[in-house]
Amino acid sequence: MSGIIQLCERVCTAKTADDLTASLVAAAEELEFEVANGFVRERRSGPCAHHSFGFVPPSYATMHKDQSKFGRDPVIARTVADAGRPVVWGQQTYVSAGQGDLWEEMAPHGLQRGIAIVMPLAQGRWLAFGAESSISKSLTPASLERQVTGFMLLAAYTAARTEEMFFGASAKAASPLSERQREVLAWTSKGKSAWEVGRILGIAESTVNQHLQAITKLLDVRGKAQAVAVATSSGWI
Amino acid sequence: MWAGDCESERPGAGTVRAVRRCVPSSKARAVRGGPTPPARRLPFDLLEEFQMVKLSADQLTTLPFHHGCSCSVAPHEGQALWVADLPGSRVAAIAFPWTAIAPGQLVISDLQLLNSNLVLIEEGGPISLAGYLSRMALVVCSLPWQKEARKARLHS
Repeated sequence: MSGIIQLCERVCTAKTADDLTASLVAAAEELEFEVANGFVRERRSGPCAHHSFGFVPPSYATMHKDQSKFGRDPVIARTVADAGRPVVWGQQTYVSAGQGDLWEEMAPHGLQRGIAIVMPLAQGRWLAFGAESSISKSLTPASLERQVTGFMLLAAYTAARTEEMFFGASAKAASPLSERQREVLAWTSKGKSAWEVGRILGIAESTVNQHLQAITKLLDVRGKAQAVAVATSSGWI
Repeated sequence: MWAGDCESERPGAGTVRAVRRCVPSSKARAVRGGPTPPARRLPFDLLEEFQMVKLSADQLTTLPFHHGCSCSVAPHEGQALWVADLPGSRVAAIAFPWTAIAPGQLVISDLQLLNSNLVLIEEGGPISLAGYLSRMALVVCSLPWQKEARKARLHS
């Protein structure tokens, strides 16, 4: 994993979309992919709305941007439905969804198998990220494990860098938290237990837990630590 | 809530067996306390009971994480909890879900579910959610967690 970790660190230092593309191409090669690319969406599903980066074979570039096919692409549908989960795909993925013709269009350009994922960014934006290769080189189960693990690490770093690079200076969104929710999360972020927060705010421990559950639902995150990450980086607490 | 997610995806006997077999480390038990038998707790349940700890993001990769507990929650899916002792009797904990993509080959199943009790701070200020997930992914990818998860699968 050391090679891919070093390449992920290169992703972290990318200053421009071209830098990001160069570091992604290098990381993709390390993981035995030939193509790696991503784009930012305003919503979880839908076409590219902001920035795109990465490498797509020139012969496939026009088809890659053809948004009329997004709606019936089974890989896109699965990544949207299971955001955060990698979707490992191949010809069978398309054939079993009755969309084998889409795979037939991609295959001659070297996009025959791959992994795709959708990752959350700040302010409700989403990163769609994928890496593809031809099927000429067979993968052992062990090398598939390494490839998926490396891809997920690369996706996580790409999401973080994309957010900083393209949206770091953008205006902060208004807080969706109520004053009480803000207080609960602020004390929780300081290491206070639900019982302690309840004592401080003069409310029951169970009420504190209800507030925390409401906050994680409201922010669409998994758990207290992620809620704190969103709220602090957005300046809400 | 996490256990509920797993159970709702793959209901059945596998989940029940997993709950019985998921035994947390003594550190996790000590921090959690309380009368509830630990054998009924899944890693993500345990994580929610660790108090939040503020930590510099740079320190994260230097923490000496060790295995807390791993368990299967379905034939091909499970959860793991790794913990590290911090100064001042504090504990850092990371929980994550895993899945089998081929016989014996395990990967993290969902980057969005990487979670910890850590509030990460870096020089420029608070860390974003994407930054948080990338740091967590780096830590998890550096841990020998597959070995423990394979054992958990064998015992489920």
